Amino acid sequence: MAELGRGLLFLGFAVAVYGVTAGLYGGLSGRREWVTSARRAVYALAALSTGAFVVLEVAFLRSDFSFSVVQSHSSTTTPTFYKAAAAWSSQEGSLLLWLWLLSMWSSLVVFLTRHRMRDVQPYAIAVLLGFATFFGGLLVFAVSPFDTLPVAPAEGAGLNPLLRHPSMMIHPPMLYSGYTLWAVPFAFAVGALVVRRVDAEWIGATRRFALGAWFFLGVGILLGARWSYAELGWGGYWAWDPVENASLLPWLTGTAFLHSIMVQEKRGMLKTWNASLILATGTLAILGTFLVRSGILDSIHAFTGSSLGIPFVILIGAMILLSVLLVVARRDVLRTEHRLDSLLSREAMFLANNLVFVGLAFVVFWGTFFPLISEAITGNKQSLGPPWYDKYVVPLALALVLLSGIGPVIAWRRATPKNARRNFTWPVVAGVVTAVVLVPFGVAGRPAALAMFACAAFAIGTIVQEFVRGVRARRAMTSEAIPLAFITLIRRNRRRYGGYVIHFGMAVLFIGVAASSAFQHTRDVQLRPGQSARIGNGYVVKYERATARIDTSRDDVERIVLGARMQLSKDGKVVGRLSPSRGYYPLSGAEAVSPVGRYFNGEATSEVAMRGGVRRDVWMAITPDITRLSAQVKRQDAAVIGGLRQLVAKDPNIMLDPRVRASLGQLIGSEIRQLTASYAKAAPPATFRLIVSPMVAWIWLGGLLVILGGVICIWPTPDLAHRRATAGYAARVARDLGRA
Amino acid sequence: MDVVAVGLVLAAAVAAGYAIASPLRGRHAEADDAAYVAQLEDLEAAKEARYREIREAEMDFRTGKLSEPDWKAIDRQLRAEAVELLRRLDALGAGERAADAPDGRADDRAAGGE
Repeated sequence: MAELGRGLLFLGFAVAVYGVTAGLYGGLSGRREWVTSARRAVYALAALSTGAFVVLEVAFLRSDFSFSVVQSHSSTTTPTFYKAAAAWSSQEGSLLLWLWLLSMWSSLVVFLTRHRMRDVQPYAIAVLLGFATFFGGLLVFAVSPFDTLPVAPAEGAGLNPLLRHPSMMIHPPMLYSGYTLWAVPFAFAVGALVVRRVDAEWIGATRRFALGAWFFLGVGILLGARWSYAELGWGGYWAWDPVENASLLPWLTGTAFLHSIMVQEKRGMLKTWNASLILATGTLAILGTFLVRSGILDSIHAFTGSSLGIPFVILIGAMILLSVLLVVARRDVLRTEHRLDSLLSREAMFLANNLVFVGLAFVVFWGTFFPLISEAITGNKQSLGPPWYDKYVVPLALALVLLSGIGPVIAWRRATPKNARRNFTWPVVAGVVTAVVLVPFGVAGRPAALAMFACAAFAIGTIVQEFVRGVRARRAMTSEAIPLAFITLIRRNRRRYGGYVIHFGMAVLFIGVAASSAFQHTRDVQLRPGQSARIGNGYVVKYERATARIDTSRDDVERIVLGARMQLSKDGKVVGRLSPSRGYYPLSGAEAVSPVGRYFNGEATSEVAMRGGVRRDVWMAITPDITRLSAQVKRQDAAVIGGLRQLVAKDPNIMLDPRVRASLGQLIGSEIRQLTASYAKAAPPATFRLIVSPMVAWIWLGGLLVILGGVICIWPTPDLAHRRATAGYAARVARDLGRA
Repeated sequence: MDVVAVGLVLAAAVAAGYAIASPLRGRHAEADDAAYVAQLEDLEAAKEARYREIREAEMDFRTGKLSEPDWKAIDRQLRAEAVELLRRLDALGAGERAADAPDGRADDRAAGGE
């Protein structure tokens, strides 16, 4: 199996190297057969990397511990669902996923554009396969997922328990899809600049891929936030962690690009800006991959002990150099076709929106790399925390939401005061009324949140107004019923109205972020069973009793779960019961030293308990005081090891007997049951984090709306040109048959 | 050594090699008139962009973002640009060139493409 995977990977690498050469030769010589051959190399790479990926997945699903990567990232007790996902929890597997996704997206784009942009395509193929060569080279020569162990162990180390969350099954593939998809517009931009075809066609050919990259990266970021909120036990959804930031950077510049290309398509403006933006976005996507792998910045998401930093630095350096050289060399053809007619125009708003996005990206970039910058200058590694980010991100986010309301309703070229009055009156009223209504509820004490609510109400007002007017216009033209007019309106203008849905979703999301950040109540308390604590908003929690259970998988202890049964009351009335817990996973390889204690020395994860709602979430996590169990654990360890030594003294080979091993397992199981029973009966005080957070659900709801809007935008429109051509040929056939 | 694995890798190598090399075998296609194709594609893209702008300007007018005189002025200008583009497309002989190759597929077939 491993040899098959290794062979397929090597073949894929060779095919990618050939494809780069064939593409460049075909482009430079103008010989189409070489370009077609390079295109086929892309398809072949997709097939080969699919084969390699399948081999790795099969190894994980079969728990084939002869594969080093399977042994270190999975175990027989890992649930099947997570075994499949464990492949990309490793450095090697995630690099293979990167290569596989890149090859699949590259195949799709070269297939869809096979009759278009023939002069650009050879260079775009060379760039895409250049990336594949880099990642294939890493997999073949540096970190192979198909390395094997001399002797296959009976059990693996298991998947990091923090990754055992449904989001983790799809979060990394989503992020990697986003990263790899940005390579497509990057490659076509390079090709377009090489052949000096910097009109809007390369944008048209790859716009859907840029949208796809934005969409997948956005979904990945959202899933990561949800995972952080539900799994990490600190109660937040965004921590400005370097790896989180790394995924946000290309998303921000990519969002700016998706807005500004509309100005180029419509007015022939911002060509240099657009080319620079997409080149920067492609580079930032690789930078994001580099940050996860290099370990240069501390992050809970990073692969530690990685040796891939230098190759990535070389690649990023080459991408920056190529980008700068191309933009400078092509500045003559990148000149704008029109000037800005007025500051009161949609193109001006797009420009402002781009500056805000790039400003945000700069803030995130500076904050992320500040530890390295400070270390280089002062010798001390200093990090910037959330308050620093808030200082800059909050005003920029406010400007962004405001612009997302202005942009859709302002006219291209020049807006007249009369038009402005007509389009902004009701949305402004919505914003002002929202602010006024919220003041008596104490929101004025948090001016940033109040401003965000007002701006979001304004933005939502403009979008609702746009839909109402669009439906009216449609009905005036076609006399359709309102629901049909609404659907047809979106169907016939997917890009525009899908974009409006995205703006709506972002406004809802920002309302959730503002409310949950400004009005959150958090308490860390230590409680004994029977004790209560007040949180906020009239909520009181009572620690009713301790809970303990043992989760098993394949007749083996997967983890010990210690928790609490909590009674939740509001204004003196019981409103529900919640059960936060903490799962303790065994430390692998410590069976002989600490057969019972190892269950408390491995990884531990919080199982958050939450009562969620549209208005607020009540969130709680528990950290049981397991140090109080240590004396009992030591006694049990000593008893088990002592008994074991006596048995081995009598017969050194006794442990080879499966019945004895089974009996030992039962003994340890019984000791653990005693331990959990005594914890549940007389639990020591536990530490609780209790949070009442308003409107967090709006973040997920807004995110879902953004996803819906993204799907509307990406959904393929009927190929009208092809339909017309087909209809034309059908008519010709009919004519010819008539003549006969 | 796993003989089956080696056999599968060899089979994959042969299949990939055949697929990649087949466009290079047989008759060599003549080099495309790349400049012609590029010009044609540029004009087609510009034409589609003008059509899209005409439709969007009408929508902007109907949803109140443009006054009637502004819309008419923009519409006139865009239509004039579209007419000019159609003239240039006709002058380029796009119709005749495309007649033998619907959607431009003939060129690819000649190059051994899909």
